[in-house]
Amino acid sequence: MDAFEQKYKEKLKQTLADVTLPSDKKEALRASMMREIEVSRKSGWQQFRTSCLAFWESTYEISLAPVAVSVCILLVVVGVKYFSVAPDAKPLEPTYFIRQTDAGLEITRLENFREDR
Amino acid sequence: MLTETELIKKLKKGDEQAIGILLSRYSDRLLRIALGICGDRQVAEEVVQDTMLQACRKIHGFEEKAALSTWLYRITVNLAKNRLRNNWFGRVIPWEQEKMNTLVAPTAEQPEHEVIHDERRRQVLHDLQQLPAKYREVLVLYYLEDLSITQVSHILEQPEGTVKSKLSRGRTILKNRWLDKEGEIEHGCI
Repeated sequence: MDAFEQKYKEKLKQTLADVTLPSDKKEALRASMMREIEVSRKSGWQQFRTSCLAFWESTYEISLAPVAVSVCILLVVVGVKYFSVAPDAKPLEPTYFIRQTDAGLEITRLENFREDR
Repeated sequence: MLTETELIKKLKKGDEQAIGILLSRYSDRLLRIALGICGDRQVAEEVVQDTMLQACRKIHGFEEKAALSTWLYRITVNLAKNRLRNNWFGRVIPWEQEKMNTLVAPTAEQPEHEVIHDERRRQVLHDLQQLPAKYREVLVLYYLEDLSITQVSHILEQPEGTVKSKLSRGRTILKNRWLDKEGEIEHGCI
């Protein structure tokens, strides 16, 4: 190690020697690490649920439950309205042609909706 | 005094005391490394926080092929580099402005010698920040943490020859800048 290196090393060490993480931040970090370990002990589904909740709470200021209920109701309404399993109302297909003649009522069976003459 | 193996075992069990020991042993060292690479105190603290949380998440997969310190340094360096990549255009306070902010008269709470020390630190960090990140990380690990070339190569996952050449190039750039500065001072430019 030459003189420059030695000098630079000393300068770097001296100037950064007192750089430490404040004790309050260490405490906060320790608490976060404990939470992280608790989460890592949970099952995959619970971890997913916890991380979703944590994301929601850190992003929005309202509870997730009412929002989830509202979204479910909305989905049900949209589903019933647009994706209902009930058959569409079709126009009635004419099967008989009825007309008044001199002989009385004439009833003709229609084939393919046309009078079979 | 816990050995490293005992510490790792306890960490894998989620022992609270072991977490405290991990923090007291490594957080300050990791902060200095992150500060050397990022040059910003706040970002460096965030990097340390992310490193510790990631270590907690992945400690179960740690196979003890490398030392715990090597593993932690590697996470820190990678996270710090990611931050640099992500924050390259997003720095809130440009360096020069940040530097100007410190050139205020010392207050009652901050005596003059502390202000001088802070200014020296900023200068050292500023010199480091002028280097490309690939040289900076090597210089920080080698000079600040007193690690050997072999240890640095393990942390950065690069061959020893690459580390040596990066160290040499970084050192040359720094030396030339220092010589230029000294020359400017001698000629009254500063």
